[in-house]
Amino acid sequence: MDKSEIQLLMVLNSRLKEENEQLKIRVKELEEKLDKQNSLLISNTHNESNSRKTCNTFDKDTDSPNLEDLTLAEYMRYGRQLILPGFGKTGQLKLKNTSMLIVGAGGLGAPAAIYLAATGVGKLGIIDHDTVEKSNLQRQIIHNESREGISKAQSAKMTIEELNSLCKCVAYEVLLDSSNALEIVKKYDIVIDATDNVATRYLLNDVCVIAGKPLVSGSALRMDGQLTVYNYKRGPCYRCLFPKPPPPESILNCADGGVLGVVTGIIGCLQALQAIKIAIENDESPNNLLIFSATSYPLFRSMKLRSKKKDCGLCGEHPFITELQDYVQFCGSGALDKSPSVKLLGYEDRIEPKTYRNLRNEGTPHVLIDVRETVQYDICSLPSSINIPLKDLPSKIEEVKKSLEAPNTPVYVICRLGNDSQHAVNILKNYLKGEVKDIIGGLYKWSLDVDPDFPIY
Amino acid sequence: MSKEFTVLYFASARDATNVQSEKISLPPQSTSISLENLTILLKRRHEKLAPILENSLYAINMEYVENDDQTILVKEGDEVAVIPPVSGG
Ligand SMILES: [Zn+2]
Repeated sequence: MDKSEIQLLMVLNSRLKEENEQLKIRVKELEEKLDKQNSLLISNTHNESNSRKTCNTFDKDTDSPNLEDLTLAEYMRYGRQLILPGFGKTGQLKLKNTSMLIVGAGGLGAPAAIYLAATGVGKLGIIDHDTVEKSNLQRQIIHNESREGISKAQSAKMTIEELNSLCKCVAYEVLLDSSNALEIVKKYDIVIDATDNVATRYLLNDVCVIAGKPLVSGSALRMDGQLTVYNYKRGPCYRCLFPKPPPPESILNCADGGVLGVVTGIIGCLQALQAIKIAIENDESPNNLLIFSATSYPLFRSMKLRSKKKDCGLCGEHPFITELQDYVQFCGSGALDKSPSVKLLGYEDRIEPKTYRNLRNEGTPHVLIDVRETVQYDICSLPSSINIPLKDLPSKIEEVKKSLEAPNTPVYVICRLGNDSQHAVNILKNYLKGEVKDIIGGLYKWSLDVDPDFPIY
Repeated sequence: MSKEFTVLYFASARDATNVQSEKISLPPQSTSISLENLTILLKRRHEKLAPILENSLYAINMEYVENDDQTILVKEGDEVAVIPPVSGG
């Protein structure tokens, strides 16, 4: 790193610190505003208390005890839904008395939280250990440009409080795991699984069965999504359907597989709808798994589920899973490894981007193979590289051989981050006589080390 | 005319097969196929589908069936869906 880069980083750092301070002040202001409004609400109606059910997950000391009726402000605010047959004042009061926990303030959690807050859910908990990044904003619409670098849970809380100060929002800036999950989940009536990884899905499933909470589970990747309610109306749990986790190398995440923002939006909104239906006890539909596919016709299909599996290890007749486990171990991957970096090759089979640049500049004869998917290759690529996606490589060995000037012409392999390129080298080594190396860190590192004008995506 | 059933592929199963759906003939002289044999048949048709089938659900005519249920048979005209879990968000 040279001097000017360090200076730039220092400037950036101090700017972020300043923004952070401003945001903290804003959080405080909003919290004070909320407190004021809450106390106003209390004084408005505390003489009307009668014996209606109050939800036991509300903390009586800090939450508004005004749960028996709607305030004038609420009648006005929720008028459009109060007049709906099948919802009405009863529905609104039930929502007000319901607490929901949204796990993940990402692509699914963002729209779910916005609609649930707007519709008047009494208390919303939001868990996320991550911070807002620019690449989130394409789908995580509860955050915005000014929130870059701050906690997603806090950012979501800020948006919710600006949207509806009547909704009590609790932000949990933690990574949900076996040590804290039960304690948090117990405080809520309905849990919304808006996570992005398999380990947390199993954790949430187990904790919801143990704590007896319905789990509104949504997922989305690429152009596809799924919605199911687990542990609800005698229906199955996640383990009933998927007793063993998929092998970690087979799981695509949004960073590697891509996702269209509106697809997560659709599933997140459906999760909000489903949570509302559970809260107002207006859900006649049988247990089902809803499948959304943006590129298929019809867009939605619904698969009818059976009741829970008798031999399910968790919710069956003779359960043997009675406490939370180590889910990272169970799944072979955790919430934190987004794109785990692969170490398949020794240093002798790899080349630094800068070394490769020198070799290019010197005009050393070689072939550069780019093993990314063609859709990625079309975004940006190095001149004179050949695109052969990794999955097609085994069937295209002859094509590679034909591109070589001499049988021992060196071959270099590049991909986005330097993982797939290592797999490719292992395949090619079996067939080629010359040197075969992968470029360390892929095009990402190429952009950092060699060419700052090369796009990072 | 051979007797056919339809298979629908979702999410990663569709990526692995490169088709949304296909018609498949029942084995000659038979009027149905068990889920176990269906799995073998699908793995043979699509090499890349094999690991995905290990964790996928089957639905027949959009009703979930347990894939180890030996009483379940796929018959002519049935629509079998292959549904792998989606875990992203
Ligand atoms: Zn179960």
